[in-house]
Amino acid sequence: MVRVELRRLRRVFGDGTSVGPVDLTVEDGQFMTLLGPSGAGKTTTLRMIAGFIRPDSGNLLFDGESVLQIPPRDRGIGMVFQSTALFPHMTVFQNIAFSLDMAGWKHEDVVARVEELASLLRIRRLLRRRVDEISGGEAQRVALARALARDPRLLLLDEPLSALDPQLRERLQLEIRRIQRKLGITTIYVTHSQEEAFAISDRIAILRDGIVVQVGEPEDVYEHPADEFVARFLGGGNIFKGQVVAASNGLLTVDVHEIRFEVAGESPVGSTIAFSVKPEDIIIDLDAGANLHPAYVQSVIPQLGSYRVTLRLNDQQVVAIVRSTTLARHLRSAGDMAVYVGFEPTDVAIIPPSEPVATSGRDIA
Amino acid sequence: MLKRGRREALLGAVVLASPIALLLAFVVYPVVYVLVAGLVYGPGSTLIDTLQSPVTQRVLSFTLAQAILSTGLTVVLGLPAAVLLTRVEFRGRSFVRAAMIVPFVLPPIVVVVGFIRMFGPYGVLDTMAMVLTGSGRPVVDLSSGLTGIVLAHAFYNIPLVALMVSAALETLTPEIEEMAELLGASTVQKWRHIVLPHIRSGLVASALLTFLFCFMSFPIVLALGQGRYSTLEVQIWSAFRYFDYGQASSLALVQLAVTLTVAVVYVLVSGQDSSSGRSGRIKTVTFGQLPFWWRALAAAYTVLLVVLLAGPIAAIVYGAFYDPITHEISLDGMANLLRPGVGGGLAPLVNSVAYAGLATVFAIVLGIPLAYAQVSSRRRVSVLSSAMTLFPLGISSITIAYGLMRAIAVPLGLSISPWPLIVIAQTVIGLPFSTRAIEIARRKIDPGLLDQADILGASRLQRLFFVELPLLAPGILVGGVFAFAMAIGEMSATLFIALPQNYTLAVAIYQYLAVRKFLEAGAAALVLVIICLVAFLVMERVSGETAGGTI
Repeated sequence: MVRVELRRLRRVFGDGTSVGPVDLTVEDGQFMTLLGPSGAGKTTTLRMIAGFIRPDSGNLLFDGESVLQIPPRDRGIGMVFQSTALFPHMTVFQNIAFSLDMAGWKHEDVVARVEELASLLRIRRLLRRRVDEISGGEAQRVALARALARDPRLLLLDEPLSALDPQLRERLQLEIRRIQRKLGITTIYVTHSQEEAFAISDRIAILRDGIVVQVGEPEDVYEHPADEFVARFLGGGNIFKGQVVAASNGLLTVDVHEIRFEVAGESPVGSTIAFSVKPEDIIIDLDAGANLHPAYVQSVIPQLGSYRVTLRLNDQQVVAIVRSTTLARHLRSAGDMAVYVGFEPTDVAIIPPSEPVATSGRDIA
Repeated sequence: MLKRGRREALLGAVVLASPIALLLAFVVYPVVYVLVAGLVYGPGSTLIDTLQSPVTQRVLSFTLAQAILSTGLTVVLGLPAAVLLTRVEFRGRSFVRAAMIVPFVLPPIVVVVGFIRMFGPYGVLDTMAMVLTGSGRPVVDLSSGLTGIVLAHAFYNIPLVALMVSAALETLTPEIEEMAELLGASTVQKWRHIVLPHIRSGLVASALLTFLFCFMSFPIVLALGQGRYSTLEVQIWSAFRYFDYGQASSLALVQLAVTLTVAVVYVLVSGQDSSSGRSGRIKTVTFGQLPFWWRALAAAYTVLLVVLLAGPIAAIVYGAFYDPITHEISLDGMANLLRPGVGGGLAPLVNSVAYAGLATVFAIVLGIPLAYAQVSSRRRVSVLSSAMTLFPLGISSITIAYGLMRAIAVPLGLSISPWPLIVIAQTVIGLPFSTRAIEIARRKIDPGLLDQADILGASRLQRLFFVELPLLAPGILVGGVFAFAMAIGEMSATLFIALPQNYTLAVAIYQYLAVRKFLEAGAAALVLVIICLVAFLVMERVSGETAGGTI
């Protein structure tokens, strides 16, 4: 369909906030998700790609050609908003047919195209309804059908599922993915939910304060967060920060709030480092042992196939995943008694420090 | 306990029912009575005579024609104002929006004075034209005849159209428009397929209201038409003066049929409006962002609107001190306001304040229970109450006055001192506005607060006096001020009812104009303008939202 390149795209707003410079390449047919906390500039970036916001500097290329001078309607874009923005005075059919009618299609062609889309999105039975007579999930399907009507080469989705309940959201994620694969359409998706991003994307771009801080495949980003911000935002691991007090043969001893951990890695003695340990790699024992440190149980929450255990280790909260029901029961009845936690030095990922961001960005939605 | 509860419920029912009973007695009964009595007993022409008479047909077609023309011009001129107010950011936008309510509360007869001094012979516009052409005689007269009537109606109703359409535009989320653009709609297509359908019900409703006001307009037609033009309303008045009650009632019946039909359509149209609240964001541009031609067009339009809307108001101030006959600046008009005796302005001034003050008190005392009845959870009560409150809006003031004169004045012997009828008519005219303002305030009260009062052990009366009324106070103030402005500016019914000793300022202005006492008319008009401006400022200060919502 189209290869999209954002080259140092930047916009400064009247109130002094800014977004960018954003550098990002989305390959033809790729599903790219812009992920970040609210205010990171995701929606602004998307609206710059659509053409609703004019960037102050930088360039936007579709298949190598700049589209900055092209108005939104001629960029060949389909878009879906969280609010759906369905036209309230029209039926579902009229909504989907809108762009075809505007382009002056013949009526029978319009009918054929709308029915084709309705089949693709499984909304044939809704076509005669008014848009205030359909549910939130149905409205998103209609909005998607409308966006796809004229075979756009790029699909932009701005938090389309955020207002839906979790089960419906999951179903529609799969649906969007299925349709995107089937049509092979280049897609840029904005969300603040890392779960959603992991579930749906080929690649994820993580934004912070208007800057892309990491781009990669979901596993990649999860396993190797580029910096502390990404690690904390993705929430995949327990993050520890401390000073290296000894180093030998690729094994560091790190002092974290007066607890000494052994960590595989390289760093000079005296330096401060951060590292993360994933919840499933935390070891919990009821008895003391080597490289285990006393901690207190705060909560034990059952979840699918395991228990999520929260502990307090000195001043730090640690999250662990426990699969054994017996251990979980013991932990739950531990009360004020100490249990012992630790991890293998090789299960640790050392995190580069986050660079402070000079300008602050803001989401304009 | 139970006994106390039942007694309070009974008291509540009596309080809610009494204004409805009073409205039945002083509005519905008189109107129905004169219609029936006039048609059945006369004296004067019968319904058939009246309908067949060429005079009636000419009057009816003129009434319709001027109302349609006025509505058309109002919509054409009001629509761009709505778009500018909603979409273009400029300094003072909120003030302009708030000030749009001023023409609506100005008394029609004051507007007449303003129009004559602005657009009439030797008026501001004419003076400029005379200087430019070097002519010694008036060259421009936009204030008399059909032109004057239509322009004055546009003056009155442009703000109405602009405010109602702008409210509708504000509920259109920018995403909807962006989506239309993205889906390939050109600007024209976007307006045709998205924006116009969105504002259609607001636009139609405002056009219907405009039509209704123009159809029943009395002082403007009477004074600017100078006797050569007559509408149904004027014709009813003159039929009554010549004791042709048959014709007056027949014409009132025809008028009622038209206004009630339009009113029903209006209620149906405005009921359809399903748009949900104001949009969080509104798509706006700053003036500087507009292309050059648009800026030029917007500027020209704004100048036109300022001349049409602000011009007459400014001309009243100038007209109060400048005598167009002697070409002198003079304080005689002002002095006349304090002169007692026949032809002096003191008696009308005192009458005006007294009648309007009394009418305001009644409009509030009746308005509070009516407002409560309208928010009642029992649908029948709320519908009856809204119908009773809105009824006067659908019936012309002349018809109400005509009813009061024949059904109430004669049996009660008020014909020789009919001032209580003036107060009644003014109350009825102010009542929809006071009720609406109080109703809005009542709806804003958090029901949780009232539940709290109940739980804390307040009786229903204690709750009313210590919790609800203090919370309602701003609404009551706005409603009272609005009712006072409407009452003091009322001319039609007052002229119909009043004997010379009962003349109010509004009637006095009409009399002064008839004998070309422009200074005296200007000074009296200025007093009414000042009262209306003060009323507007009070409404703005207390609650801008409520003031706008009352329309």
